[in-house]
Amino acid sequence: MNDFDLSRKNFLKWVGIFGAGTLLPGCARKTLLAPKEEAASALGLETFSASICALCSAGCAVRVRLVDGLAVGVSGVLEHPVNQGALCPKGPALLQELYHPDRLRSPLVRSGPRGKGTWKAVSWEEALKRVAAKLRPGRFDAVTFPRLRDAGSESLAALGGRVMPLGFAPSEPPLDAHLAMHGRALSCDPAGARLVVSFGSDWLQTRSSHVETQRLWGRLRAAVPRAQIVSVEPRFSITAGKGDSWIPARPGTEGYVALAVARQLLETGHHERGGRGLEAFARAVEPFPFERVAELTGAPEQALRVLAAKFASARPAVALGSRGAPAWSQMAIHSLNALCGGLGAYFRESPESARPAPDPSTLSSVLLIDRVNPAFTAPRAWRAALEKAEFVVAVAPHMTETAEYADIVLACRTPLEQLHASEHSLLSGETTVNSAGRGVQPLYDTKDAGEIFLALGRGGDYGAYAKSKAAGWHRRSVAPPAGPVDFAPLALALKAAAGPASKDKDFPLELCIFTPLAFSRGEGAHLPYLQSLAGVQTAEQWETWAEIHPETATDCRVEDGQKVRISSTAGMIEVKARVLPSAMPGVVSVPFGLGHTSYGRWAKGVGANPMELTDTFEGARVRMEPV
Amino acid sequence: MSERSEASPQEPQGVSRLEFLKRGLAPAAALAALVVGSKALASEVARKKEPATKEGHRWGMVIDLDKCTACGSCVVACSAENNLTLGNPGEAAMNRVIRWLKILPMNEGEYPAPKQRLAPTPCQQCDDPPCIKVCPVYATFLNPEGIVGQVYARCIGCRYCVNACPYTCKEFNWKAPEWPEEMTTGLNPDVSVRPRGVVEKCLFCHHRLQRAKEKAAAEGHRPLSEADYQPACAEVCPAKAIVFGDLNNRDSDVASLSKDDRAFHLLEELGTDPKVTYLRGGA
Repeated sequence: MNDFDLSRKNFLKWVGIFGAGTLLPGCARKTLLAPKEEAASALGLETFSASICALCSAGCAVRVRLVDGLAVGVSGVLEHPVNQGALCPKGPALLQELYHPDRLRSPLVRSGPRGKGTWKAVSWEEALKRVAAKLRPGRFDAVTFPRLRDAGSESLAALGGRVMPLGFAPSEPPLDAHLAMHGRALSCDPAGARLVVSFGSDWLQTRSSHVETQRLWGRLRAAVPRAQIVSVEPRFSITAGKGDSWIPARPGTEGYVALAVARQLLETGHHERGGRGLEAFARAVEPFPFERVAELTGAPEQALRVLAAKFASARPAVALGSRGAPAWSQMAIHSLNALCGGLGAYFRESPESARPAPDPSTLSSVLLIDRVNPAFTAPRAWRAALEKAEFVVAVAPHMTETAEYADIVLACRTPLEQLHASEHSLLSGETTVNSAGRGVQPLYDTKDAGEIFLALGRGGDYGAYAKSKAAGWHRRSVAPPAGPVDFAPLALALKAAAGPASKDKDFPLELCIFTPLAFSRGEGAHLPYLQSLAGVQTAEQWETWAEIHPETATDCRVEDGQKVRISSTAGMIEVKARVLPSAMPGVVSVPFGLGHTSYGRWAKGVGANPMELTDTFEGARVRMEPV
Repeated sequence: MSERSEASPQEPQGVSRLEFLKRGLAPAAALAALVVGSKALASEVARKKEPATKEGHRWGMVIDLDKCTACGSCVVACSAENNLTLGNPGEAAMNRVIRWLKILPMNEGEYPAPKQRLAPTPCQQCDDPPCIKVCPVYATFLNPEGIVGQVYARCIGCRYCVNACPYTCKEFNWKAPEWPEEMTTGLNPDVSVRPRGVVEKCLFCHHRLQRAKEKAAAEGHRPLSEADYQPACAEVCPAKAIVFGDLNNRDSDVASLSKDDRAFHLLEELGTDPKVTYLRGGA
């Protein structure tokens, strides 16, 4: 009876059944056939716990949904001042961070040559004993990520090493300008401004904190009168596309645009009075008229004049920069805030301490690397420093390029598993104090990072330690920048600033490195849901691509979708070319975040790292050719 | 072929009583009436006559493209909430990474004055969905609250609906989903994992609606409001660009915003009558 029996009887039977079915009137058929909704299936015991995201230092509060004690969902906490119920894309990816199959599950000791990836699992007791023997107070450097303060940073500082916060320059405010011109870090919340102009910064994707930045945009858009949003940058970024206008300027030249605007404002008298060294600054911007700046930057002269007119009329205005630019450029951009009234209106003294970025060539020979990955974010300089170091200990939840150089890797917990006691500053400059227990039961043989530092130092119960620290912290209020702005360092820097790099026959193109939100701080490529998000504008994902203008493509004999090689004097990468009519001619734009040689199964071997071509985010001269 | 088109589930919207009676006289209708029972038929006719009933819920969404920053929180929140596949470079190269909510880029113009629109695109939850008309097995259907459903167990994987959807919002499982052992722990227990060979789509987080109804019922059968039921994308949006609610509730934000001056629908000319409304960006 396996064969279908097409007998007369069967034939008539089936025709009868189907015939009756099709002859039914539509409405009856629909009633008969339309699926009935079944009740939702029974659920185990559902509970909720509170935790902090901690994938960046913003401090968003999350609500973890647990079913039978296992985390199955994450959402924002409505009442929290930072995220107000929302999350950035990294938030909902927290579960992938927690359940990542390649997470470190115990302390590891290197068993082969450095960088070869051969490891032996050891007990915490042994690992901590070995590390404690190497970390002598005053004799080691601890490289960590910048944050206001938390129990972990306090227990790290107590170890007595030199603590060096390593920020991700494109996500940081222009701290070098703030330091030079105000002597301290400032925070900026431009909600209410009539004009917001960003220079060389795709701030919707990079500016920290991400949630507050997206919310700010929503508020700027809903404001009456409506704020004008302008982007000055080499790439037609998400911010440029979403904003009101885009002024293309070659990579690293955005500061000149700010100088041309400043010159015009000073010349016509459309500027706020006050500030030290304003006269010297006025003299220093003399050589930057619109015509010359148009030539230096590639920006249309008319667009520069319109921008200056906007700055003169739409007050208060805010100029946004980032630490991804050279110091003179950061200062040139920030000077517009002083000239256009934005400084007093939207800038506040930040409780964050701003320090110069650590210089890898002057590091101690004993290094503690705490959850940062400089061998990926600035590989050329840091690989050399790590190779040279006598002893390296890394604290990380995942194996990274930097941890591969370590002698001992201490497996720490992911945000949802750890205790939280931390203070965070908001865009407004105010602070908030977070205190939360473990959102889920920790997986594997791991410890909180702060717990590791405490154990290496004075020891004791970390839970009690964290609680006692947080008890002494309170929300801080804010004040506008005290004292006049100092233009003198800018005037001085302009004298010394070298002009833009001259043309180079061998490397005719300019490199623009941008950072998608999914990969901010060089993290995120290890989580598959974030991989899918990288190239929103070009529908690219799971790959590194290079955006070029059709004319540039013709010059390089490259076609859309083709595999190309990009080389500079420093290195070479292979990526997929995307020919886009919106690209600036002569500029190659490459996203940062992929090209890992470690960092788990989803990151390793996917895409290419443009930081192999240069040491900074300020750009470089490159060449492109088909592979 | 004529059989197939007869099998189409959609009746013209305004079936008159006369027309219905005419058909009702046909022997097949009499048979159907016997089978189904006159009650079901009567209620069906009543529903057809007044499709825009103000009773019950009609869930809809408004996406403000002026506020939206294309950050992608909605995409990741949707993926995590609905147990979407992880994706990999191979699938990406073939455009087969399944995402129920995608940010569709639309580019116009060229350097130095290009234009761009980035529109988060969930299922548009059409009131007249092209996808359900072509489904030979009633696996996809319009539920009474306006959500276009998908029954995985019934789907035969013919992909007619994938082709019929003008918004590319239906996705086919070319492979069985794969998760590393560790990650299966974190799957949302409210959402079934789809097997190979079926089509899946955004359901406005229908499982959340079901849980909300359970909760409302447990709390003395109180009426359901927007506060009880928000899909993951609307809940997570940091720019507050996604507004979700009951279009039948005249006091809801979604009802008033969907009649805003800036409101438009994707491919409006197709007459699919989507319940996802966009608000134009720009001044």
